[in-house]
Amino acid sequence: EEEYVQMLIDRERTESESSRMSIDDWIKCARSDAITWILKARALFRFRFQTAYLSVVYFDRFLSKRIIDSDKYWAIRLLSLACLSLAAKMEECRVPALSEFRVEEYNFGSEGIQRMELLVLNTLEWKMSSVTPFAYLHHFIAKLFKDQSPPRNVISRT
Amino acid sequence: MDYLIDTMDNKYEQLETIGRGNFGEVYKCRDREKNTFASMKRILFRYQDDGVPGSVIRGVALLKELDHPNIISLLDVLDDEKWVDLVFEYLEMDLWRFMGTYPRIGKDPNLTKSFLYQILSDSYRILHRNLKPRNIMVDVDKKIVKIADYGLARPVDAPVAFTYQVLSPGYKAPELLIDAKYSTPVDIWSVGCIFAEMVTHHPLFNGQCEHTAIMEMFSLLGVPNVETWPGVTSLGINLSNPEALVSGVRRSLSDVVKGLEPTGIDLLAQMLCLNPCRRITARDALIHAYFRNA
Repeated sequence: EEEYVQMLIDRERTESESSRMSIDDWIKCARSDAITWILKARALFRFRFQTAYLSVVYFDRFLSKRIIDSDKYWAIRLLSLACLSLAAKMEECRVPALSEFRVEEYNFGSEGIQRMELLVLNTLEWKMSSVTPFAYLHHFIAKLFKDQSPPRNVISRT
Repeated sequence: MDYLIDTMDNKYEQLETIGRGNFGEVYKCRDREKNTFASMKRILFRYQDDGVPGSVIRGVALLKELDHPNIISLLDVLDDEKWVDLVFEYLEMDLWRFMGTYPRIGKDPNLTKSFLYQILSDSYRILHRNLKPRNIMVDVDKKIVKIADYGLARPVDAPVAFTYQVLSPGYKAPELLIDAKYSTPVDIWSVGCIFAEMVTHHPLFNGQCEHTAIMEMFSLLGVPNVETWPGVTSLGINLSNPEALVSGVRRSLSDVVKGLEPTGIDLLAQMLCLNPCRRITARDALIHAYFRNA
């Protein structure tokens, strides 16, 4: 157990060091917009919260390695979509087909989304099992509630 | 796009096909720049509307986390619109062929000890379920063994098949044969079978089918009862007539695995404990007296 927590801390540290980035205002704005879109889509597909969180981790890691020009708003949308689809494939039991993901303004087509998935995978070197706070949370909740079963929704309320 | 530059054709020269599964094909190839061999597994994307398959993403992510000298390593991931190529380090010989090709060197007790230590030192990191001499590669010059049995790294099986039908009966732990719940002890059992085979160069259990495999086990290791394996009665084998579950003359491990030193027999017996809860763990096996003078 202790070892497990230590392992999580170590991994988180190496990951956050590699993904620190300089954020200019355009990206800041685009990022907050992307998060809003991801959260909306999460609710729509009834994904777990950690899936949304993981998509944002992918999104940030991607932008720490590649630059998207400020006139390419569609690229941010496509990136958010690909990150959510990839996170769902890592975390969810039921994953929607690419054509089920809808973005109001654009129609990327399955082919375009798949190409973006591959670009994200390659940029992140296929290291997709990022540590999220949820891994700690499950551990702490199990410790706190030892023998009793924890109250429902405890994860989503945090 | 720049990420497509490193395609198969540029970096690797494709040689012959060395395996085939329902995911796609496995090729031997040559790294043009380094002039070394590699094996390449091509996984086709069946359905465009699914994008990159989840099993591939999870499988590669797992392989990326594993970095161990006794694991076949993933060197490269190359993609095209229709498939992804996983490039693994290539070793010509597996343990099964090694034993056949080098009957004398292969029986050297120190080599057996070293190989067993190497196999055990990685095996508690992940549940394999499928360990057998054919899935263990041997670097003959360096005397290193590498397990090639990690989901997508598996040479021919389908990716992530979570079924009971994954293992040849001869190396299967008893709890797998009787459909009980299983976990990492199943690997220790398989490693025990491989250990015995490295000493004698004969499979410990032939396991033509699951029933004969169980009989072979019980004949060698005794029929379990509620004392040696609490809960065994709920597993669906009829233990009321133990005689019916054994065949031939009862022999001991030291009769069957001739030439193994006494500490080795002791370790082997603990690895082949029928009750998975009492079976030795990889961690404890590594500090067993058998390895003390290695």
